[in-house]
Amino acid sequence: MTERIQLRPAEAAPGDTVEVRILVRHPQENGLRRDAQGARIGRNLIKNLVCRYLDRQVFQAELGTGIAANPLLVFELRATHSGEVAFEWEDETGGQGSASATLTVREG
Amino acid sequence: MQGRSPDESPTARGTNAWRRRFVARSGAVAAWTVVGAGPLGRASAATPQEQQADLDREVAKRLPGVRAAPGRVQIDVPAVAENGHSVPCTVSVDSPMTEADHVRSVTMWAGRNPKPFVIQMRFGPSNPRARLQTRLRLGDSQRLLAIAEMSDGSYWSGVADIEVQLSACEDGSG
Repeated sequence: MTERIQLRPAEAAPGDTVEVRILVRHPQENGLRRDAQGARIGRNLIKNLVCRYLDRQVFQAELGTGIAANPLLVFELRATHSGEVAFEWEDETGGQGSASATLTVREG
Repeated sequence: MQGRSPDESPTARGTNAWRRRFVARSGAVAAWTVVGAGPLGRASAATPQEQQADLDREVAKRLPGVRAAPGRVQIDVPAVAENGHSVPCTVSVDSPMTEADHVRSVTMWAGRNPKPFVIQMRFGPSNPRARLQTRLRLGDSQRLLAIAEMSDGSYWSGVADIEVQLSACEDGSG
């Protein structure tokens, strides 16, 4: 598993704040490093990460070299209905991944 | 920094320039130590005006023509980080986050990093707060800047200063 999404809490009432925690295993290569043989390691950053809740975008980010390796992104969404919170990412060399979690909303 | 040759590719030139700047500033630390300067030794070699000029150049690249008013944006980082590899950071913007009045985007820079751009993100009314918690990679003691774009078209900014004791760039594992 190279990426993970967690919802805190995973069960909520309508209108509640839910914290979304996204973790991607990724080197976020800044293009400034060299390997043991002295060859430059090419830059490779996560150029796009999108998170959707009930198929609607709730967060999007482009990451620069200033975001540490294995990026952690924590943000909030407002619970409305039960459904999937899913994110996908793509890096500069075509690497990609996705993960999702289910939010349960107690309605009525 | 192991085995770096005088490579003349554009990226390498940039890196070497950055290294020279770093070395120059390290020299300045020694001088400051002699006269008993405060703990912000390395950052002190770049004046606040120089740091602001660095940041202004970066803002102009991403948000051309934008003039942000100070306020509504808060960057929370520790005052001192032992090393720059993974520094906890929370950026938040004061906004009701309604359909009519919300934060559209937040962009952040670290002016003394080799590449100052940190992150650009989009928010909307589905976020109860415009707030991101993440971990930064910092090459130096420096000023961080975040600019928020609001749904009414206004721009607001916040800054934070941080002292980094061991750069994320020094042991090559960055």
